[in-house]
Amino acid sequence: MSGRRWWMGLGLAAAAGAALWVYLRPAPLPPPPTAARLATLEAQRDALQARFRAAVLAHNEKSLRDAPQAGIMIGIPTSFTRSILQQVVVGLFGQTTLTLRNLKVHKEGAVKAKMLVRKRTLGKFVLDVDVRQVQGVLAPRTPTVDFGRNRIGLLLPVRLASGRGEASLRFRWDSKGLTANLMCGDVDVTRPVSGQVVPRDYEVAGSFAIAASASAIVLRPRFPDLEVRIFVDPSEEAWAVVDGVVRDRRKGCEIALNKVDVKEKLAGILGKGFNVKIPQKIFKPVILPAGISQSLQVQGLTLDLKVSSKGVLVANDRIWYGADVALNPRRPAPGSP
Amino acid sequence: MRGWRTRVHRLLALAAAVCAVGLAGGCRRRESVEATRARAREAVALSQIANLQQLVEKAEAGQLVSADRIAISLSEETAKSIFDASLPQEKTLAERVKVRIESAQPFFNGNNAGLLFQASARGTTIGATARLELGGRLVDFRIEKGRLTASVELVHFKVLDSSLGDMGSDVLESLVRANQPAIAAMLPTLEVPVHLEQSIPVAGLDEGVVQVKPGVLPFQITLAEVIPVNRRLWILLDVKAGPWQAAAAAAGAE
Repeated sequence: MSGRRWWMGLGLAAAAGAALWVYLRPAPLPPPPTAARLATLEAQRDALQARFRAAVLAHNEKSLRDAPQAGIMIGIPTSFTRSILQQVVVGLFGQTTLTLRNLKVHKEGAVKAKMLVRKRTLGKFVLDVDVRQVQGVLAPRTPTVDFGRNRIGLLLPVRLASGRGEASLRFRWDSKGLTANLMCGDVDVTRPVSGQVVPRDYEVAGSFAIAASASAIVLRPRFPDLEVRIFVDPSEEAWAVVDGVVRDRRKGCEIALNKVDVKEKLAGILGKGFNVKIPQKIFKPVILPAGISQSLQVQGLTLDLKVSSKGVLVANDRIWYGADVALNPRRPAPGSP
Repeated sequence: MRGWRTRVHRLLALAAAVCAVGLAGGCRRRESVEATRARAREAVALSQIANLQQLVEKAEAGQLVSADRIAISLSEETAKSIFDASLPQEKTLAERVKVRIESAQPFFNGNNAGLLFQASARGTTIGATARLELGGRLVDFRIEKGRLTASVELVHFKVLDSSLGDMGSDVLESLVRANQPAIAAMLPTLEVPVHLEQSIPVAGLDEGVVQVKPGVLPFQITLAEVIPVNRRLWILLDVKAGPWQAAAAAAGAE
């Protein structure tokens, strides 16, 4: 290759290279945005964010404006809280059984009648009612729940709906005097009787105080004990049994025993009812299901959190809870090497 | 022999000249850090504005359903402290460069949960150093065993400056690009410091006369919507309580 040809080749190569450069070079970048352009865009963004906040406040989240501002905020809908309380309270009361066992009622007296010229004691009776068991079942209805400033009021209609009682009735008659003893003698009969619990309606009224624990919102119950009185209505069979106690005697005796009026006395005993106190501790504190963690696990490390509550706001739409968290020194996560 | 050597040298020079001119066409002088950041800010702001316009329309039409949802909100500052607590994270890439993620800055604006990680890189053989910026976003929010977490997706990275100059920065960027999955794995996940209970157990009562069976109220909590706006991350959860489940009497009776 002569020097001339070589130089021609080099010139052609340079021209080809220049053409290649023109073809391959990237389009020049536009100048970067100016500070003013960026400020305009970010102001436009912030204005849209403000519009968004205003729309949210106007339409859905009226209480957001007053919610405690903090690093973490949790807003639990009142509709959800209401549903929790209603289901917990109805669930508990619907699973409540009142059971009275081994109640003993004793009644005694004398029966007097005019015999010829003066009143004489015909005999003495003793009536023992041994209530082996009375069981009543509660049937709650949907409670009314209203949200106050720092409390949730609750009114629960509850019915002592059904139940059954079983007792043993012992009637003793001790005739006094020769005539009475001849006519009637002594009586000592024991009969089983049963009856149904009489339905009655009650209302449980109280409230739940709303408090922020370190990590969650806790609803603490404030309810009085509920006094329930169980009435038992003896069955037809029970009355027939009582009738039989008298009817099975001789005629003269029946007259004397009718004066005792066992049925009336039994009705009097059962008519007073039996008191049952449902303790207020049937209500338990309810912890709402969204709270702030006490620790985090990040990249295999367990980080303890120090939670500082910033307050609770109870509004119509939400219960707001705000807290700041500070991360404490690390410790290895459980099970990590 | 001498002529042959001359010819070879001339051919090599010719090829080198063609290649150099051609390759120069594919290169561009690196922009300044300020210019790169300004472009990134512009792109982010434009994307946020577009997202916000849709969000505002939805909210103004009353179509943003939130009233029956649990709302959880996390500030940028709190998120930053959670991220920073798990940093620094360090990893060696291709046995050549040690990358160390130093700190994180979340940006919850314009319906965009962005993250900017500051990182450094150091050559393992030669002592060259560089500063990097990794951009990411929070994705894949989920509730697992009562914990609310999100992953970080690596969106872009940039070598801000390098002790080896532009060429070193280009080489480092290529290396980072080639090892993107390894770097993405270094990015910490976000655990929002809340606990979401799956049920409320309620103890029963055995007072002799009064017997109450214990029970459990279960919850169904699912993620509904994530709205990063006004420097806060808003997470809306769909919730449903019940039905009440009575347990065996002996199990929880006091």
